[in-house]
Amino acid sequence: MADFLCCEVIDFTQATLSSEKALAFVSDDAFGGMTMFVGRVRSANFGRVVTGIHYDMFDPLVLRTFEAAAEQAKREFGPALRVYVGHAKGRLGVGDLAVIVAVGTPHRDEAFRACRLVIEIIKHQAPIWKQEHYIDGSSVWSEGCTLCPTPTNAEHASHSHAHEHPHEHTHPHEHAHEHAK
Amino acid sequence: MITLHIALFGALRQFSSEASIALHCPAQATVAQVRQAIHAYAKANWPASALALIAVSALASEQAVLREDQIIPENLKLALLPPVSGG
Repeated sequence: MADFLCCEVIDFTQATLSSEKALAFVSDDAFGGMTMFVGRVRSANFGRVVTGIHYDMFDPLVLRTFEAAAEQAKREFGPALRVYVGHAKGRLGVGDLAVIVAVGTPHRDEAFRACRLVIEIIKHQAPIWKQEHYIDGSSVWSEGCTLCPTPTNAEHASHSHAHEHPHEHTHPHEHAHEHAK
Repeated sequence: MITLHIALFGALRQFSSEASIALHCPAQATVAQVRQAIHAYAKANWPASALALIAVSALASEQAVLREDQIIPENLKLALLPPVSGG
């Protein structure tokens, strides 16, 4: 793995994400700007009381997606750039940290933009799925973005996949799979 | 014929007690052909709601989401990936 990037999937039964670790990794004496996005499990969604979220993952491709996102960030906002990406896997409770993206660059503009780019790629392209659990004991797999075939290196060089249609990967049918207690 | 093992993820897990399904496909099958085999398997074994989800799911290896025209090597680890919702 390139030394500008640290990416990991954290098994929530074994460990938790660390914002301190993320910021430490992207820190550098040459960097004046660091940004960090932290996603955590919130207590309600669409008016329903959430008790937790189960994150399912296809780990090898998740890590490959994190790497590709960081590489794209480096192409667009580097070369002076460091990226940390971490995502928790398993059953999380309200308030637990699900994902951290941190970026360090010489100046703030690149740090903000690179961080946003990476988290958007994760949300739209990483093979991760959320199953929300509710107070009544039911659960629902969240609606999501249909995956597109991974661009080749030549295709990467000619366009930015995340910027083309970041909010258009929706599927047309109802995708809530209710599970009774 | 070869046997492909396709791992299931997300909402697809509810349709099988196993983490993957085994399909018999022709050697040198394309992703499109494997998808047809998955559809036939699901139609025979799973509820109708599974077919709609499979239609918007992607076939992938450990390295990439695959194109429909790609040929599947015999020992490639495959996964059927529903629409994603991480982050």
